[in-house]
Parts: sequence; structure tokens; C-alpha cells
Amino acid sequence: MNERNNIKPGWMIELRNITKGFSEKGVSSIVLSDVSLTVPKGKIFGIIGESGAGKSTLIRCINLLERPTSGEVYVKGQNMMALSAPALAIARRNIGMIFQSFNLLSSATVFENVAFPLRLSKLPKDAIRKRVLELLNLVGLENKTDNYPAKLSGGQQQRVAIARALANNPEILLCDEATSALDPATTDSILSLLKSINKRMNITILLITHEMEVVKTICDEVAVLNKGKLIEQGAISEIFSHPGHELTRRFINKTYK
Amino acid sequence: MSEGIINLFLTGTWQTIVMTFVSGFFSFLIGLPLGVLLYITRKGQIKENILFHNLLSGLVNIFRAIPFIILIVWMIPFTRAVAGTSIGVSAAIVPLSVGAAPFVARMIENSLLEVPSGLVEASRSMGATPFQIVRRVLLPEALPSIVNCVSITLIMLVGYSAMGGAVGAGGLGQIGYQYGYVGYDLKIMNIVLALLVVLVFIIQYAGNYISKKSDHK
Repeated sequence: MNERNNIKPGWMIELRNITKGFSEKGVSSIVLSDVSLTVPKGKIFGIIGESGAGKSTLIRCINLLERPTSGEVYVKGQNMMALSAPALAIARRNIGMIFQSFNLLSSATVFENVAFPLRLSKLPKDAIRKRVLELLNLVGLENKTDNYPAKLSGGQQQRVAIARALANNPEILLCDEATSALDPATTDSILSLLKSINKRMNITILLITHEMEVVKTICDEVAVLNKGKLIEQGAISEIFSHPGHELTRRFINKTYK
Repeated sequence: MSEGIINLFLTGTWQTIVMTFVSGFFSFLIGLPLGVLLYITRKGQIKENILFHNLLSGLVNIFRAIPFIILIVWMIPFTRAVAGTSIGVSAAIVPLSVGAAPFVARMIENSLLEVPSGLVEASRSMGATPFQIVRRVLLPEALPSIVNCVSITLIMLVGYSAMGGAVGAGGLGQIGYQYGYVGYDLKIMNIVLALLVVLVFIIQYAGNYISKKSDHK
């Protein structure tokens, strides 16, 4: 485990020189090029970019839903790309993830959806029941246990997804455009839930979005991704007061409209 | 109608039901795992293996291309080895199962394709193994569609088993063939048809009902 040596202790996620290329029918394209970033423990870190900038691919490189073509991924100092398939499955249980389209099982009730990751970890039945009710309480859906997702609003579905992502007590939560399918009021309530989870449980959150409003509301730090490259990153106050790039300025200006 | 004729129809109907459901069971026993394999080895799926997928896909296509009436005859040596005989209900079940299995495999593959890929991605992010994804995500999510596959397959098997009747499979098909086609007894032929239609309607109705019950979308 020599890799551990040069990792600073306060970093939860470290990406080093991540490049990702796809080749489809002989045509290759570079989606991410030489992206390096570090996410400090306990912070909310936002990555903003326009659609097609490579945000989705980047966030998927952290839990290796997408494998980078080159570069290194460290989570808590552990070299993710060196893990065997079973070890990776276990490492992923420490990284919760929520999605724009919620991705709940339509065939399972709210209770069963939240119980899903716990069943994967083969927890005893009583423990599962206790934990699921605790989580549903946390997200304010304790009276919806037996409903199917189709009966819930978008905001409620995202709350179920958050409860599910937190089930195994992860230290990291990845949010893939988690509020993009929601109306402004619901977006605010989901964002404040994420903020309180971050504060109360000290979970490191990495989110991607195309809305500076989201970044402004909850992030401590932000990185701007443009055409597969990170063009700037820093603390929110810093970036908002001295945006270094035209694209960053455009994102910021949109929030004042 | 004489008691003999009534008994003939009762036995025939029962034999058709047995052939349909038993071969339906075996065709899913073979076809369901094949359909899952076809799906998970596709490009971009959890166990992507293009070569294996293409080989299996080719094999399925070959079996689907063989007309059922020819399959029955072609399979006689195999049927004899498995069922001990090449005529009657138990012998018919062998080619019926083998004839329907590739069809089932394709339908299962298609049902799984309807499951949103985000669900598989979410399960992978939670550390689910490929087996857990198949058992806990893909199959339950595709269940309403799989139930529809079951009814389509059973209805197809009612027809196939009637065809098998012409070559000694027994059941309503054989009665229709012997009394109706060979003896040209219109009344018996029509009763056979009516019974087959009723059977098909019952299967379709039950299938729709179960499929709807299992759909929570």
C-alpha cells in the first residue's frame, strides 16, 4: 500500500490525471482529459458544467461505474482501480449515489427500496427493519413505507433514493444532477436535506449540476468543467468574487436573473 | 352425443392442457436462463461478452427457424431417449419444450431490455453483484412483461400441441385430425375448435390479470 503515502489525510476523494475516451464504431472521442481534483473530507463539493462537458462520466469514475482510460482514483487513500470485482463491490457500499431520474425499483415498495442495499450486505431481518424505519424517518417519509414509487411525487422519490443511498452508512454521497428533474421549491427542500445530512452525519458530498444556483446554495467548493477539462476550482466565495473564466462568469450571471 | 364421444373430448382436453402447461414449464426452465444470458452478455451490459452473445443468439435463431412440424420428426431419436417413446403426450412434451424455448429466450431478452438501465447502474453503485442484479432487479422489474411472455408462450403451445396431434401427440389436435380431417366429421371438428378457443381465452385472460396485478408502474 505505497500509494497511501502521498495522500493527504484530510482528502476523501482524489482524482489524478483522469482521462476517459470512448470509441464507438471506430470513432473515438475524449470525454475527460487530464482531470485532477481533490475533495476534502466533510465538505460539499460541486462540479458544474454544461451538458456534454463530461460531468456524468467524471462522477461515475469515482465509484468506477465508468472506468477511466488512464489516471488514478483514490477514495480514502484506497486505489479504487486496483481493486478486484468483489473488493470494489464492498468499497462501493461506502459510496452512496443518487440520480436525476431517482432509479427506484418500480416493483418494490418504499420500504423494500430502502432495504435493498441492506439485503445486499446480508443484514439480519430485524436490523434491516430498524434501519429502514430510521432512514425513512430521517427523510420524512415514515408514513409512506408501503407505497410504490409511482404513487410518490418526484421530491418524495428523491428522498427515498437518499434514504437508500445512506443505508449502509457511507462516508461519501455522489449526487448526479439530483435536483435537475425537480421544481424550484422541491429542489430547495432536497438541497437543505443534503446540507443537513452533510452537517449531522459528516458525509462528504460530491455533486454535479448545470445550475450555479445549486452550487451557491450548498457547496463549499466548486470546480468548473468545460469540454472534458477542469478550467477552474476553488472555494465558493473565491470563485464568485473572482471568476477566472468567461464560462464561470456566465454560470454566475445566470443566478442573478 | 354418446358418452364415448364426451369422454373422448374430456381426455383430449386434459391431454392438451397437460402438454401445454408441462412443456410451457420446461420451455421456461430452458428459455429463461438463456434469455437472461442473451441480455447480460449484450454490449454495455453487466457481463458483456459479444462473442458468446453472438454464438448463443445464432443458436437461438437456428432453432427458431425450424418449422415445428419438422422439429417433431427431426427430434424423434432424442425424444425416444428422453421420454422412452416417440408417440403420445409425454413424447410430445419433449419437442414442444425444445421448440418453444428459443422463442421464450428471445422474449425474455426483450422484456429485460425494457428495464431502465439506470436501475442496473444504481444497483451497481450499491455494490450489487451481477447475480444479485439479475435476481433482485432485472427479473422483478420485468415481471409484468415476463407474465405476458408466459401467456403468449402457452397460447402458442396450445397451437403447437394441436399440430403435434397430427403425428400422434394425442390431445384435441389428434381428435380434430382423426375425426375431423381424416373422417370429415364437421361437428367434432367444430367442437375441437371451440374447446381450443376457450382454452386460449382463459389463458389470455388469466395472463392479463396476473400481469396487471404485478405491475406497480
